[in-house]
Amino acid sequence: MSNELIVLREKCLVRTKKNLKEALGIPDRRIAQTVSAIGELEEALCACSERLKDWYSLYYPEAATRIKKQEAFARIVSDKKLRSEFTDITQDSIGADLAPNDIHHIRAFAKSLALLYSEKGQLEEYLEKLMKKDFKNLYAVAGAPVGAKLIAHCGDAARLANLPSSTIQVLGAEKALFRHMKTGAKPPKYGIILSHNLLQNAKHDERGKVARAIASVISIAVKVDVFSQEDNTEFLTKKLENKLKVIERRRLKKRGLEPGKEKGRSKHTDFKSPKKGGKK
Amino acid sequence: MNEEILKRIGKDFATINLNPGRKVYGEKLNKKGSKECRLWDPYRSKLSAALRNGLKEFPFKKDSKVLYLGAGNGTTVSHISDMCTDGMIFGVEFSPRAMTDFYQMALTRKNVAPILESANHTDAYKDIIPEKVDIIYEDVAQKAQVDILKKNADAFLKKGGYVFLMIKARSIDVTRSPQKIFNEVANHMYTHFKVIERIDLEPYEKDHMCLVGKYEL
Repeated sequence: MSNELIVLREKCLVRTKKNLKEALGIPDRRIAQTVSAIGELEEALCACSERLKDWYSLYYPEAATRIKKQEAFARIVSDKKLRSEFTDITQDSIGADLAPNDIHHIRAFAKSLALLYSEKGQLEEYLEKLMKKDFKNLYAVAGAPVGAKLIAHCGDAARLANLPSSTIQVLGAEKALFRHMKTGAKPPKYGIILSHNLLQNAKHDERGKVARAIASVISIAVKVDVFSQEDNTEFLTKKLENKLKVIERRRLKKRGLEPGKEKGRSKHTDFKSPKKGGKK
Repeated sequence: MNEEILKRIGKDFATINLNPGRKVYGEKLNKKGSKECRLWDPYRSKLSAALRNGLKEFPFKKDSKVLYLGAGNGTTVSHISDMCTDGMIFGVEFSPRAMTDFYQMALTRKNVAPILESANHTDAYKDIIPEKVDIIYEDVAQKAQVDILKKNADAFLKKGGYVFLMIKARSIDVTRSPQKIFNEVANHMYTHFKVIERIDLEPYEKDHMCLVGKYEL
């Protein structure tokens, strides 16, 4: 091998190392990993909590049916040694009287679940901080989990900033989108942004419109965050609000109602008016 | 085919391990004579899949200089590095995640040079590759695959050099039939290259095609 090539390789290694350090250090990666970790924890905790409930039901089914919240249930089971420590649930249980050693293992399992729940909570706080620090505008219009998931989906925020809002709207719905492109089936209306608060609260037949509005504002917000880093949160939230107002106004108009009068309508108009040409 | 650098072990292809005793991606090691060979998994590496499907044109030599676009984790690169012991493989990869694996592999092989850039931005690594290379191998799952290849060939490939292009039909267009896309890409290549060979990569990869071209301008 010629000397020149060896020198070249050295140069490559040095430069790549430097670039790599830089590329791995950007906050986008930490955000992507954090939000993915939260998602995986959620999934695992859900499955394990179901198991804990089933398992503990052998010993004390009354407690398992009474305590609905999974997180609280894991905490309580890990705290209490015996049935008799529950004061507000019947002591006359139909559950089997397990040996202390059997209960010990259930409690150890519950303990590790409780620990994971608190770890998840901490990660969520950490994610909020990360998002607030580097992606203020995205955070303001999308919230921490949705914004972070969008970034994670693209790999980094710069790539997300280069996407049109129509793509952002259906990010995460690739399966449906390609099915639509291949077979002409109905296109998806939303992907990751479905878990956005506004979209969750929107009326079912308006989710498409709301998704479009949210996506358009998100696309502006990311561009601001990536390219100018200015704080435009007020302007952007206002913009989103206005868009939603327009959608709301149109909906009322379509139903033949004046804005603001919806509450006072008679029972009769609660039913959807039949579509034109629809079945009688 | 050069038996000196590329061995056959039964149905499998294998290369002589540059770092005896060391695996790169969990492949099998096999002693053949005095030398240790690394089996080349056709499901992990498209070049091996092409060989399995009867690739004839194989210009890799001991002192070949290769520009590898889309090096990924370095699976295929490691085998090329086994073959071109006296040459140099410039591996271009844009994803930092893949590069972390590739970089560590490159440290153990003195004929691999990693470059963390997009293959689309030839200017970014122009200063690193001053000499013309013998072979360009491209495996980037991107829509503008052919344009990227042409750009790089114009900048770095010597006259009469070879290009290996792994086309992923699904990354060019998901809706049209792969065969049509392959024909289109081959037609697209004629402005720069003479297409010598076309190998379908079934059953190792779905909707993939290996095109071998010669740079004649």
